[in-house]
Amino acid sequence: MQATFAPTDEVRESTGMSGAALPPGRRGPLARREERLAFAMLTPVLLALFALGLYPAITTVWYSLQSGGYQGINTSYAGFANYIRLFHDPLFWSSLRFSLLFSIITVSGQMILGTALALFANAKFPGRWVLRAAILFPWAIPTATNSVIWAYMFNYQYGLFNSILIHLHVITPATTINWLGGTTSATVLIYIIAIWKANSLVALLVLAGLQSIPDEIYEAARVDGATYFQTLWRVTLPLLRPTLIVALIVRIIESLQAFDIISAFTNGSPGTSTQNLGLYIYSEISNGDFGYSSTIATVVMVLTVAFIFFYLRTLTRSASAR
Amino acid sequence: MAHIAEQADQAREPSIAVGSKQPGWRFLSSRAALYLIVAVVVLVQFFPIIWSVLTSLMSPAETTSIPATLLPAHPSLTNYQQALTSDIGGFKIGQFYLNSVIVSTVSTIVTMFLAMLAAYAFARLNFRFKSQILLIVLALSLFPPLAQLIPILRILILSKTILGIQLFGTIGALIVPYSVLGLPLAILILIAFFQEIPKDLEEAAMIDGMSRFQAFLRVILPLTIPGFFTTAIIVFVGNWNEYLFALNYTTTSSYTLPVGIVTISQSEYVTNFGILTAATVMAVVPLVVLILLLERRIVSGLTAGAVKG
Repeated sequence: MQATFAPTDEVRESTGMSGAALPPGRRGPLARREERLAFAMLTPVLLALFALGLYPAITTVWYSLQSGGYQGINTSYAGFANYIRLFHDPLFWSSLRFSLLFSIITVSGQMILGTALALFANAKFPGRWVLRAAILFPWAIPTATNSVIWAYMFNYQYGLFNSILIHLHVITPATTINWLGGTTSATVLIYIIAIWKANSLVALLVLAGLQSIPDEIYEAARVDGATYFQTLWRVTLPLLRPTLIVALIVRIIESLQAFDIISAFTNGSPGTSTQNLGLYIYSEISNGDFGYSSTIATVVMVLTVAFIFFYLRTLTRSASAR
Repeated sequence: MAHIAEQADQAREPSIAVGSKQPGWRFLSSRAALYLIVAVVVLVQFFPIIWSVLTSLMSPAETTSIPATLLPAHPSLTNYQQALTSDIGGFKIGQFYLNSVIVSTVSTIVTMFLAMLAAYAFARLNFRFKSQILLIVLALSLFPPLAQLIPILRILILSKTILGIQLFGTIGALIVPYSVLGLPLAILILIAFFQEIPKDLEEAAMIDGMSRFQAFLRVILPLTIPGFFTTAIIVFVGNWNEYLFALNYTTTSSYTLPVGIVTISQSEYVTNFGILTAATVMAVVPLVVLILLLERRIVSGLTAGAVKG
């Protein structure tokens, strides 16, 4: 738990200890000097985070109220016109639907497989470092180039999977499957790649959570005669609950922002059937319509910020609970 | 020697099948079943890159044979040489590689410098609004770049007319935002590493007459070097793999490797599969080597930052 909630400890420590010891304004010269040093060390970071983190986020909302012009030049204030357009835009609704379905399905898959991988990697056997390295690997491979590789593996002419099916006599060279050309198959493949790619992030968090569970608890369960699966359901998973919640929220936030994994795989095709919000924003940027793309970006921001609040509350709450 | 050490290991943990910590793993107690699962997992995880390596060693004819072959008949490194030196339909992968190296390295250095200062302040110093500022950093570590993309693009375009600095379409257009993009995560991971160092150390240094900042520079910083490099690698991997900003802020001459590979794959003839996979392998191999060397540290660093993909 220690490693997983490192920021939390910090939050707790700072809310509990700093400032409380001495009321502000009545601090000694040493404390004031410490504060000056702290702000000197923080200023560059705060300026950078404001200029390229918070300011763009706020500006995005401002742009969403503008329309006309090209690349944000010669625009005029338009009130909520973009939002009304959004509401009547079937492409927006289909993109939103894809984003939400994508998040629900891939995050579920990542949680289940990631937890299973972590339980397995937590077992003690010689050579388990191979398994840990294997878990880490999909995280390190660039998402975009990874999608290119998968797209080639599922290429309908030269792809590996079709040729495997040919060798198994499921299909003939004349009836190869156009995986990326069909809406259903392309969508399912996107789900599979996304689950494959981000399993590891869940597994890493869960692994850290597992290592913080003391051996005595397992001993006690064993003395009581619990089977492995009873221990898993009644002991391990309940103790992992905080870790699992953090992993779940973080994965949802990340999945709502998905862009490169789809962009490099189908680029939204066939038609716009695999287009999510991220791809829609990009296509509107390419059209030079910064107002409307900012409107869609604002929707993504509102969705994710809601989960970020939830995440922060979970963290601070589990900190004060201890 | 290694063999003996392994035997000693097994002697200490007599039940190979996992049983020592968790009860009930006995149904897996045969070594074969255990390693079969390990083999399957490893194969699934590494399959795309194994397949890329095999394809990158093939001749153009082999990469487009129908049905596809798995093993190259006459493995050759021609594709790697071509990827690095030749011009593929107006795209120079060698140039993209260089761009990626420069962008990722420079922005990682800037990020690490800034993050180190901030993380120390959070981990060790008391100041007003600390928890609020930390919450903002935490929130920004998960904030969607999609919602920052457009205004930053505007800044990059306008920097030419307002400041007279051409940023859009140069690698500077990536170095500036990347330096900030990785900051929140780097700060969170570094805080965890700073907290591992006992507080007595700098107190002792300060009793010896050092100032707080001197104690930070001379006593604490040297001790965090392993944690520092772990964090730097995580930040570097993030920059190296970044795609959204790279796609929007670059032109052909300033493409990074991922953007270049995707663009070629979506615009070029299929006969370049060998070169594309060679480029992919070259994009991945440096990271894999780093990860295999530092797996344990990276895992602890990633979990400390609550993991951002």
